[in-house]
Amino acid sequence: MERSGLDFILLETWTAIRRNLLITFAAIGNMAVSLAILGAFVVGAINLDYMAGVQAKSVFISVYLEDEANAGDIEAELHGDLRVEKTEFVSKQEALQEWAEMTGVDPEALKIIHNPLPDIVRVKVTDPDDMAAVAELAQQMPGVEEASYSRSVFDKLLILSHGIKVSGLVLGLLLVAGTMLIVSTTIRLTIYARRREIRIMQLVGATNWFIRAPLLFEGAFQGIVGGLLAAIVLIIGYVYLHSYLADSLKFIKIVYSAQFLTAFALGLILAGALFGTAGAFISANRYLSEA
Amino acid sequence: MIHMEGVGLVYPDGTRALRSIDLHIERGEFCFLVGASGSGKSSLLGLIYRDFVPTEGRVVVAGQDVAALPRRMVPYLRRQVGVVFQDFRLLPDKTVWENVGFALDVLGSGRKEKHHKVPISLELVGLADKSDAFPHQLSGGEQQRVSIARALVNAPPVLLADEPTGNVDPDVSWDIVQLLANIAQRDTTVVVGTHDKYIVDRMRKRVINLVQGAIVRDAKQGGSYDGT
Repeated sequence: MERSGLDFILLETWTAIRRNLLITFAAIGNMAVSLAILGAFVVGAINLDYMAGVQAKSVFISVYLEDEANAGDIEAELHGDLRVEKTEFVSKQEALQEWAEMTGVDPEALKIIHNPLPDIVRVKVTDPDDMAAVAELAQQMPGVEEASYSRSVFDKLLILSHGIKVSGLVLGLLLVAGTMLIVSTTIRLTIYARRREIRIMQLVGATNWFIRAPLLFEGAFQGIVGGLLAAIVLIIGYVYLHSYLADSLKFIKIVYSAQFLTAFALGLILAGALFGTAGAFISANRYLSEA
Repeated sequence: MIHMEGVGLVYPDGTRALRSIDLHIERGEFCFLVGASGSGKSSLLGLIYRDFVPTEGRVVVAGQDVAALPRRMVPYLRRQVGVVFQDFRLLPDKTVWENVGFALDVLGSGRKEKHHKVPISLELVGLADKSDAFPHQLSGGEQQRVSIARALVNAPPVLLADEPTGNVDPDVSWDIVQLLANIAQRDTTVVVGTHDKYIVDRMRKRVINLVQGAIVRDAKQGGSYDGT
């Protein structure tokens, strides 16, 4: 009985949520699923971007030498080319060692097998655009078995990252629109349930903002709870994915820090609050402009 | 307090509700607005609390040109005009006290203000002892008193009543109208739309008679329902 201003608005909000409990759950569930899918796309795009960046820094041409080739001559000739920034000789033993580190295989175990890897000269070009020409040049040199570069992986990563961003954006927008529609429908039910109250509020001179506030809070509440649920599910999944990658696929590095996870969770909750409020705003405005 | 000049009202569907209304009601005046159903009583009252905007002419309420009022200012006009309806419009899940307090709640009034004003308003309508009752526990007459208390709690200078006795027993109707007349004594302008001939004739107050959306007679004092 004793309440005023904000207390009154919050109590009205809570009453409406309780009254529409089932539909509120439905709206929250919908919001959670939509935000989780949206969040998964965002986190996927962030990681692909990150991986592409890491790759770009380490793009080089691997010149695989024949067993009887003169490594010193070949390296010197390549190093003399103006387009080349630096060269590095990697012996077949070093190459095997690197591979072992990368894949997590016990180096001791490798001693018992025949090393199938060739000697390698790694060539880093100044401008990635010269990559193809330099690789072609190296390929023609005597004693070179093959010259290849990881540029194709890099390119594919960029295309994939771009594709994920675009499809994520399109799907995300559709999901957001759908979510806002659900929230605005829920709010419309609240408005319908409270139409007598709203009419009386209008008659005794409540401002539209005062009438709208509990409706917006209800939408925001649904969005925040939905965002929270989505954040919990996604972060559990992400932590699990990270530990899986750390165990089994060491060469895949994903963005992982407490700061990143916190920002991600807050982002989801904020997005939920925003979409929920926007959905409520649409319904409230439509009703108030008719009345 | 209420001033109308050449006012006409045509609804969006093309129905003409009011035509060339000229009317002036003083501060603290009590008057009846009479006429058959569909004669335009509710439309005329609706112009005063800006439920409708006149399609022609000028409506001035408490010094404000109602038609020219921006949308966002309408709530502030309505705080100066209390309205009472035939169907009471009480909230069934709220007590008498809460129903009256609701009008203050939505204006963002503090608890202290409510505890000061609600009892005064309930006292005025004679329902101080029914504070904790719910609307369904009250008679029609009592419910209408609650709605009057709610309309008055914010001390508006104008009180409109649209068929306030339409849903109450005839013997209670007289008490309700007496109550409204008492309120006018307290410097509140009161306009009562009704087609209750018995009451209008007995009160001998100003009577404004509407026929098909036009004022056909305005008996300043001691008026009767049909001018006899």
